[in-house]
Amino acid sequence: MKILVVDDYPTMRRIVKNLLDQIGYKDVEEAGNGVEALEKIKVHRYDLVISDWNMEPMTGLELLKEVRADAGLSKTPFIMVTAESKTENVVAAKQAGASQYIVKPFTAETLKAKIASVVG
Amino acid sequence: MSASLQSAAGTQPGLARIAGHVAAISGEVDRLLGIETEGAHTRADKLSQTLAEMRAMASLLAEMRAEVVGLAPPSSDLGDALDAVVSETEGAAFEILRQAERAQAAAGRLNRGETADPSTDLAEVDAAATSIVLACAFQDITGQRVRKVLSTLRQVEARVFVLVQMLGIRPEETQTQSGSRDPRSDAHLLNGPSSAAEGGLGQSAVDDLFG
Repeated sequence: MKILVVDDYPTMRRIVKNLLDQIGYKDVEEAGNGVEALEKIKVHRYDLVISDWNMEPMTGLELLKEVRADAGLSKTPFIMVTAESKTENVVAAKQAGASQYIVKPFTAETLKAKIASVVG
Repeated sequence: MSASLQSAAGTQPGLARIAGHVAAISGEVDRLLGIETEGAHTRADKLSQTLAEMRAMASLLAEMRAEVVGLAPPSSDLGDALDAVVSETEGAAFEILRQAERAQAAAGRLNRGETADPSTDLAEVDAAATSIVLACAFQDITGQRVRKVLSTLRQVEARVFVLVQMLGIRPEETQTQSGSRDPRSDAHLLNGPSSAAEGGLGQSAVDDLFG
């Protein structure tokens, strides 16, 4: 399974990659913001996108909306992993079509469970 | 306007408006100095009134100047201190991750029975754990830096509060004039990390919302 991890902090990308490696997912690529991620998503097909929210110039929510608006990409499972934990954030992400929502800091078990729930 | 105030306004854009107020008051003083008094009866009263107003303005100007001078942080390296915190925490996180991956690799070899001498890999795990402990020392250093910046910010905050009161600025004015607009479409949703007291949800509450 090919996964794209999107986060503006290299440390967080490395943490997520490490956890994915432990779970057994080795085919993982990275992007530092929404713009970079969207370029990659349009070129490569990913089976799962795991994205942070607060990034510049394009946020994770904006990226999610772009992905959902593209007929060819709209079915891509998309997990938001973010420190934004207010009700309005969770509701906005759900309305935009997020497959799952993980609040930072999170555990390896949470990541594993959410991935399993969206990719089976 | 004094040279030091002009310099402060130049180096801190936020002070430009204060400098504008000071200029306006100076203009008012100039206008008062040019007042034409009418009639012998009222001349003494008007002069007295004018002098009293000028003294009040001079006093206000002196107070404002003192507050503006006080706004300058004791040291100008606040940004550098916070940059250093970001850099130090990132460096420590990378080191901890590197050592954790080193331990994971050694543990993996032991688990799979791929090691000729188990004591070598056990020593590797032990060394990695020690390195992680040492890398955690960043918290002491960054904590000291952040506390220093906080102390300075509190001093500046108190002086800004006094200045705002002195100039009679209403809270809604400061809100409408602050900063440039974030161009991101969801900028209004970028709250940053929130504790439970600030309305932040835990993972189970988020899961409930997601159904």
